[in-house]
Amino acid sequence: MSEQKQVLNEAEIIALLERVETTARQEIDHEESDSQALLADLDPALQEEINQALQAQRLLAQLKDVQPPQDLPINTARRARRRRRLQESQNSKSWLDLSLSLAVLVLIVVLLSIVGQQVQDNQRKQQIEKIDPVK
Amino acid sequence: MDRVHLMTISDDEQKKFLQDLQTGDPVAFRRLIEQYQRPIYRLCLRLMGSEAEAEDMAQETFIRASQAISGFRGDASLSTWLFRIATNLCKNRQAYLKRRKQQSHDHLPVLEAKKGDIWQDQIHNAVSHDQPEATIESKEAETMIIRALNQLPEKQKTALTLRDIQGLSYAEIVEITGASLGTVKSRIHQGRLLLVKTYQALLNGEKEGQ
Repeated sequence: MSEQKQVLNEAEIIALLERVETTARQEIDHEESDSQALLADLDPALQEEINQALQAQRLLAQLKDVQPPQDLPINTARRARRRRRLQESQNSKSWLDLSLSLAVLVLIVVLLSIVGQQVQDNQRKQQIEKIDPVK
Repeated sequence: MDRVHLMTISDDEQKKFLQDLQTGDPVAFRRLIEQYQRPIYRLCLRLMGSEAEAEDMAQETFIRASQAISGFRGDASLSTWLFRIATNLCKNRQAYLKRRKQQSHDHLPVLEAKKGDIWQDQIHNAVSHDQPEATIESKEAETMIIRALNQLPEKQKTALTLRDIQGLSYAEIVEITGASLGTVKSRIHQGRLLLVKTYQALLNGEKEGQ
């Protein structure tokens, strides 16, 4: 068994680690000590790897619980309202921008048509003057 | 292990709660924050390593959630969905801070100081509050663990935080990170090994410094 276990790939190491974790939890419940037996046949390098992974878990378990700031809900609600107001003002601003752009566009079209009409009138007048110079 | 304890409510209540959230009910929004602020803040703190950044990211998580709640179909649990939003926000924020750090090397010390590094905060608190030696020692140990955690590559740190600090299942981590089960397990395992190695290196460096 130990010969085969020396060439464990990462997936097998992870599976073994999970077994060790489960056994370690059972040990707390049943006051038995089987987790080390699971590792006993393994290559020392693999044993070391699994022990390090377990040590990492123990280290992280030492981290104390953290409490969020007491004003987190109030500040979040305030920020959400501010964001909504900003969004609304941006929306209304974009409507205003659109309306203004449309108005300017209409104005330009009207001006162009007036100028076009003036030009046509002038041309017509010039033609009439050419045909009837006395008048 | 410090596991996440989320309020368990019936399916009908959950449906009603979601409907209230989707209609933009401020009371439901407040309830969402109160219910999930602790695990979300803790996740953000461990991923960002700074209290100010963690608060910012936690607030942003709830705001984004309220904006996107209409698209929540309930395929994953609400907590998993919130964790995914928080993880993505922290990832983007870290990338932004990293880019900014690279762009302005000259301003690095100022930025670092502004970030309010949790390590410095904790050392300061431990010393300034005139606590017993044992408490200071445990605080220093915790500080060292956090420093080691902060030095891990981002993906390993995220997977390890979700698994060993938040106490989530592999399936939930797959859902949150979008990585395959094998990748998640590998990141956690490699992260654990690197954490111990980094922790020991920091410990040795500390001893040599004394």
